[in-house]
Amino acid sequence: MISQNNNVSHSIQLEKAGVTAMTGMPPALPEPSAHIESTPIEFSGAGGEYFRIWIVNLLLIMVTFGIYYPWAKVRKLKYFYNNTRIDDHALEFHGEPKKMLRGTIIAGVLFSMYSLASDFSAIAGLMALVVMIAIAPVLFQASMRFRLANSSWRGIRMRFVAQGYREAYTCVALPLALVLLPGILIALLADGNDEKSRAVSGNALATTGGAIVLLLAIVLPYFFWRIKRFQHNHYAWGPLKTEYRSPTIETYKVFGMTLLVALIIAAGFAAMVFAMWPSNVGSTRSWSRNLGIIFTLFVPLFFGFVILINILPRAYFTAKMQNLLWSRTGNRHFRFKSELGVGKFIGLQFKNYFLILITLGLYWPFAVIATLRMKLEAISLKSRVALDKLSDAARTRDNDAAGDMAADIFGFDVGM
Amino acid sequence: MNSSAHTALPRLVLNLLDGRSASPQPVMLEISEHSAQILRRQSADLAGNLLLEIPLDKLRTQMHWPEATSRGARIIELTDQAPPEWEGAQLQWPSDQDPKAFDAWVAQHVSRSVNPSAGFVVRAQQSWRGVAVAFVLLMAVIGGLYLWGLPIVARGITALVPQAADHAIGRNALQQIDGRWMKPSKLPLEDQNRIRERFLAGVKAQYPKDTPEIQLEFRKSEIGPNAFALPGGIMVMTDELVKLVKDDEVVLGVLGHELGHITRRHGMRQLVQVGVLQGVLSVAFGDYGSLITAAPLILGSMAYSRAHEREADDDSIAYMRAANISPLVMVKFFQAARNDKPPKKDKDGKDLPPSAEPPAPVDKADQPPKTKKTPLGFSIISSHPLDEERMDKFRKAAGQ
Repeated sequence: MISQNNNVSHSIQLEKAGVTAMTGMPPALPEPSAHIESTPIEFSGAGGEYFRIWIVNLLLIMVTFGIYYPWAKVRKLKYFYNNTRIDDHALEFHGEPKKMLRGTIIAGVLFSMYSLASDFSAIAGLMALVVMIAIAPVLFQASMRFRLANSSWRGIRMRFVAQGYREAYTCVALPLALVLLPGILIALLADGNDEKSRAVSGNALATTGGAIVLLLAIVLPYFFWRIKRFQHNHYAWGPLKTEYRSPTIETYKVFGMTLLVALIIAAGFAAMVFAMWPSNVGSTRSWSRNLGIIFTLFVPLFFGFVILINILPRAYFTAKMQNLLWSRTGNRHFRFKSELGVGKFIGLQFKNYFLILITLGLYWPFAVIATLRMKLEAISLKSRVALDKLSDAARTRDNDAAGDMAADIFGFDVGM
Repeated sequence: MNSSAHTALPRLVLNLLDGRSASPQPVMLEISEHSAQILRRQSADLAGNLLLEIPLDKLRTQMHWPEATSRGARIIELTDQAPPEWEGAQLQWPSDQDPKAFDAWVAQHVSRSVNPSAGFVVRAQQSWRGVAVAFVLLMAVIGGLYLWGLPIVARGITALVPQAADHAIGRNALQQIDGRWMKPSKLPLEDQNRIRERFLAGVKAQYPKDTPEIQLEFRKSEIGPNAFALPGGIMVMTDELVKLVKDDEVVLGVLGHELGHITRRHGMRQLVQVGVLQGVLSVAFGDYGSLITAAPLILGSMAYSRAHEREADDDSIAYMRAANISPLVMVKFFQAARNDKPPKKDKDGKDLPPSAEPPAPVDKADQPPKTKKTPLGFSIISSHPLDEERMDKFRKAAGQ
């Protein structure tokens, strides 16, 4: 894995990546040298402190009936940013709660309308779905732009530099339509009222349903890769843009391995159920005794399965994906490297879920901080130019930065 | 301009990142009686030349001051109210210095209205005692909102939603239920008409004015005896339930209960309550995992469902009184349900609409119900109150 990493990044840095990154670049930026300076990301957030912030924020959100939410979110983000340091300089978040309130209200109204529509009728649900698919890419891009434009390091703002909405539509709207539309169309078709047509369409539904699931399994990793490439190709810090250089196959590998992990868990549990199933299950005489065995053995087994299948593949995917995403992001002057230990991360998630469960949710902020720490501290910045010189070059202001800020009057900030 | 005369003034040495100069420059921030000044630092002891002066009454709008945290960076940001060339510039407290020293200096020299760390929110967040108070208040607020606030809000929102919406939702739900769990009724038409007429006469007697419009449907059920109400005045009675109780008055009592769900618009209220609950949970716990929010959401919505069932039982008693039926018929119903073995386990019951009756528990005991107590755990995870509790209520109503 490591040697493969080096190969790819080496060719990125020396050949193609720099050419596009160099266009329009001020001459102040020195040529990358052979020497690589590695700077770890440091995180100084503390679970106890975030717990205190969380409790007070929650109280204020509750007593203001949700109006305080953007203020709470800005405080949370500022806490995360201000405790994240690269080369002794912390990140800074500049979002203004008042601006974000508008975006939060609009997003909230849209979402409630969407989630209620399908209760009214299949047609209303379908219409809401079409509307959502139509605006989701715009919201997604606006949200990325808002978040980046309001983040800075060393006093220099970041940007999300996607132009136009074409790419957002291909990588967000298309998969959404693929995932959601078939279900609704099937529901509409199945509305046929007489029983015969229902029976006939039942068979057809099963086969088309199966085909659709298979198709989705094949194309979903592709669209996931497209979305991530869309994001990581358009980050910029001053004039320094990043590129995402990972072939699609790497994303497919992570998805495939995750599926394999889930299948192994499922197979393991199936084998255990099979091995422990009472052998004399056919005889009615001992049925009640068997029922007891089934309850004492299989109920805990079932809960164990639910917990394992919810935590392990997800944690595996998160860790593998972070390593892939950040190790492939950069340009010819700097890039990132993520070395998140998969086993360590999975272990942390088990610990987190367990402690959240036994504290009835109170451990949640500690879990968030512990996860964030492990994820952030696994990443380091590899620079072929001294960081001071890099920021000198970044400081020469770009003209389109102001336009970015103005475009986001709505302050959409979806996601964490 | 030279302010070297004011060497005695309190000052803070910070790094200026103004977005133009090459590297961070050390500057001094001085606060006098009238203004804050940013001065270029020329030597350690003497003041340099003035870069920017902000009157004290503009300090709040032209600068964003950082909130105190234990280890976070301290950065003062110049806002868009500041002179244009200063917008976005940052004054950083050097990372090798103790952030607490910065906080102490600001607390001493900057007015409380400007310094966010002096506000009650940050003060509460920085002390465990403040957090303990906030935690107690939070629990009280959550409890109050959960018990009274949310039901009242849901009632208010439901009142704002036009009846036409109920009708649309009800029709849509009936269509889906028909596709999955119900077949056309096999009950003789005369039985259907007799029950319908008697029931509607009772409705008229209970609500002489503003009689609710009820559409009573009969269906053959694939999930055992059941009756339920849908938004918009649609009621479904299954053949199996009619056959099980073999008594029109019991059927009417059950329908009186479902009528309560309809007149109180429980379907819509449940929709609103669960929606709000879901929103609150996702704000509190972010998207750490659906596993964490699922349990409180299910438990919470079941508690609301139980409250609705109790209300509907009260309405059923009112209905039976208006229709001259003894509330004891409902006790008969529960006993009949008890003795009936449902053809399927109650895992199907979860998919029913919120007001659906649960499949009766499998239990051989046909003696008076008080003998068996269901453990508390079961009552928390049930969408309906315990049968014993409900039978007692109907017995009491009959005794009065």
